[in-house]
Amino acid sequence: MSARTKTAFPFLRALDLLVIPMILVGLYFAYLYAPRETTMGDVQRIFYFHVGFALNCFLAFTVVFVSSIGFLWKGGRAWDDTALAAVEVGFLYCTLVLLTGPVWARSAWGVWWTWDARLTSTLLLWLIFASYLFLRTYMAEDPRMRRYAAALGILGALNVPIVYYSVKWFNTQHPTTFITQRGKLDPQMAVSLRFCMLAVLALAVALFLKRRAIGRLEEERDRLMAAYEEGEIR
Amino acid sequence: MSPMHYLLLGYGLIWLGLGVYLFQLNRRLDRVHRDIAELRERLERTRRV
Repeated sequence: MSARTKTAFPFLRALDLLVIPMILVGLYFAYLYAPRETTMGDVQRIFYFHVGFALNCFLAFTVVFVSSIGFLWKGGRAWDDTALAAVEVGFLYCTLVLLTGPVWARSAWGVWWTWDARLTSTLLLWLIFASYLFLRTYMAEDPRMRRYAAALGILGALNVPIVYYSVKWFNTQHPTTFITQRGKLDPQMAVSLRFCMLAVLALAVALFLKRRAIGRLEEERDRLMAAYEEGEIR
Repeated sequence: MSPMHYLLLGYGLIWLGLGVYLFQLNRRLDRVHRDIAELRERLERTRRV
């Protein structure tokens, strides 16, 4: 096992010890510390994590964009491993956004789903990256598949600005801010939102590093397996 | 369902999804790490023979 692999392994396991308490503190902020929102009530507390998941999902897909361009330009497994790890984290976060949003919508709007610009473009983003993961799962491992995946990753990531600005460009029901009786974001709400976003970012980094390490280790395992089989044949 | 029930459902979905993914990542990391150690050992043995 390479020295880098040996030192990275305990570090990756220790990341949980940093991230899990941060999430628990985030839950405290979201559930207990932040005041009750005046119009939406308690269900608005979903947003402390919903917003964090959405922004970090955009961040993950931006990493996909950069690393996919890097792969098409320079080649190399490292770029591809980075893109795949970022897609998995971004896709997971996008799924959580699409699950938690309707829970809030059912309570606030009375419907689980509406074909609003923000919701529809987010669903489209999710579908593009679902097809990315299908492509990687069902197509044979070869350089052509990696190139197709990189192209799809770039195409999917180009949808991120459309999702982000959809609330400005189109007439949409999706809220842009939440307010209190004073008419602006309450300081306690702002602190809670910032901390939850930070906790969700820390979790995304931990998941990304773990997933990327798995890709690198699987590569090393395949190389060792090939060397072992070669030795056996001789 | 009351707004509080919706809130609990929303958070339940989040933490269930994340917990399962984190657990699965840790398991994969352990497994691939074990495989590498085992392969290294086997390769060493083959070289010695």
